[in-house]
Amino acid sequence: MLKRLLLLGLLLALPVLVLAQDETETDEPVIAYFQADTGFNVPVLGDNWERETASDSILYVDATTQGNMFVNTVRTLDDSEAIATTIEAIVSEPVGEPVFDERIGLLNGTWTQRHYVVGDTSISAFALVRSDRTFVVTFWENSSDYDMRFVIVRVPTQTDDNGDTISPEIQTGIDLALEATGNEFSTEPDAVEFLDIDGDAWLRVTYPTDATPFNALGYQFRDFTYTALVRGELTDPMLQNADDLERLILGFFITPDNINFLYLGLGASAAIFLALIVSMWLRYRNAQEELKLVEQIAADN
Amino acid sequence: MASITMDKAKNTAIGNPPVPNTLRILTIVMILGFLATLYLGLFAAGTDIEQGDVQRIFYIHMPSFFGAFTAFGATVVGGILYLRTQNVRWDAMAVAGVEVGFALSLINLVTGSIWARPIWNTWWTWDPRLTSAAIMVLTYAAYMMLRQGIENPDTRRRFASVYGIVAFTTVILTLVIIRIRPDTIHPAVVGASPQNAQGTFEATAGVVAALIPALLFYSTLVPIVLMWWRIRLENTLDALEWKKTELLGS
Repeated sequence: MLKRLLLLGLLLALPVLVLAQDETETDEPVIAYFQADTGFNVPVLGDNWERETASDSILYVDATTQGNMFVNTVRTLDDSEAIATTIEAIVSEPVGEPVFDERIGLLNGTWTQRHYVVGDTSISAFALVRSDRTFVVTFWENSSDYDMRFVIVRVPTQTDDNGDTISPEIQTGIDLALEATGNEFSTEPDAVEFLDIDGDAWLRVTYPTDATPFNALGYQFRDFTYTALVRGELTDPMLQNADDLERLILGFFITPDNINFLYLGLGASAAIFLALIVSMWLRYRNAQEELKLVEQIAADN
Repeated sequence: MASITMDKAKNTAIGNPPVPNTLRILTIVMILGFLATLYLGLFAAGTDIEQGDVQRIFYIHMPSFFGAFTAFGATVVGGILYLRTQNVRWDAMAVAGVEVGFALSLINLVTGSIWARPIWNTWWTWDPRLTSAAIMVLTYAAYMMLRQGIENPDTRRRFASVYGIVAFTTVILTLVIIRIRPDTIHPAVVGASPQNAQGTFEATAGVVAALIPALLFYSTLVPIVLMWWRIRLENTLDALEWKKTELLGS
């Protein structure tokens, strides 16, 4: 009885040891995420966006700017096919050749980024091939008042005279984006200003044009400049769209498919438990048989 | 000395008593408990969107360590009481604690290694926590081997009692090392993770709902039931040893 009471006391004390420790407190903001059945996750954006979700995609629509963001999953390893399939789902007509086509190595893999023009609509598409599928993030606007395209460029890390790394200039990134998309300006910008959009520091550069205004917006994250090139009158909701797309791409991640490791862990645990139980049973059985034999010999003697 | 021990064994060894109903019931409850905790971990708890399904290993990994903690703790209690009373029942409890604790700590070590492969991109690293856990497992493996190597039952039991008590320092070290070594990459779920921890995840309501029952189950019922069966085995082995000695002596 004493043994059992001691055991019980010991066992009851254990959870107290575990639960008595302090809970983790964090000041980090909690970001809500949409998780698709196909494995991608994107942040849930603000109330300016209406959401339509499916098991393999999510569509964001901003009624104010007529901007749209669509994240889709296509079961193919061909990024061109995935982008074409996604765009055809958007505009319901065959897609032509891209007007801009480059690859960019981000922290989560190499993305293909392309711009298409279908009728009055220009579409920015980003595709990432992973496992047996391709994830496509697209932005387009249905408004004829403006044209907004997105480019991500990598600004090579620079060092100062002492060899220390210095922060890349957003302006350098914007210049690279303009060069890559064939929007180079020979004259100096009309205006350059920093904007705070939901806590993100964006650089807005306004270029002189004869007719339609042209703005380039840049946001720097590590070595990468997220650039929005806007032809037309730039409004605050459009700035918000640019910031939201940057958040969507930066916040995009894929839940790894590693269920085989789970099976391996379960199998290994079961094997160890079984080994213990079978070993105990075999030893018990052998001991019983031996005991009977010894008793038989003792009786014979 | 051996004859004194055999006399004690004669008085305490049970031989082949019927399985108590309590043990039968607890064994059934343990099997149901395995199914219930598996259901909670595999289906009721949500999928960790950053780590994927492999994170569910955690619902076996951490509870199995605390099960080992309980079993090794019983070894300490058994060892102390054996040294005080010389009653072989306490030694049976001590050896049962080591064997069950060894199996549970091996599960802890193996599942941790399997989790680390997709999350840390390696099966093994000489991290302070992993190293201390490996030392703990090897220490108790050595207990079982050394115990087998001592013929004199009394010497064997005294040695095993002292060893079992001292070996518990490796369990304590493994438990606290993530709090005292800031360079460990092993995450902590209860309390703040170390600064360099990799593979941390938030203790959401789903995680807690699956973890607490598993913790309670693995740290109480699993070691109790398995140790009980192992104690019965040890009693049978003691009875056999006594009968053999008696036969040889007659």
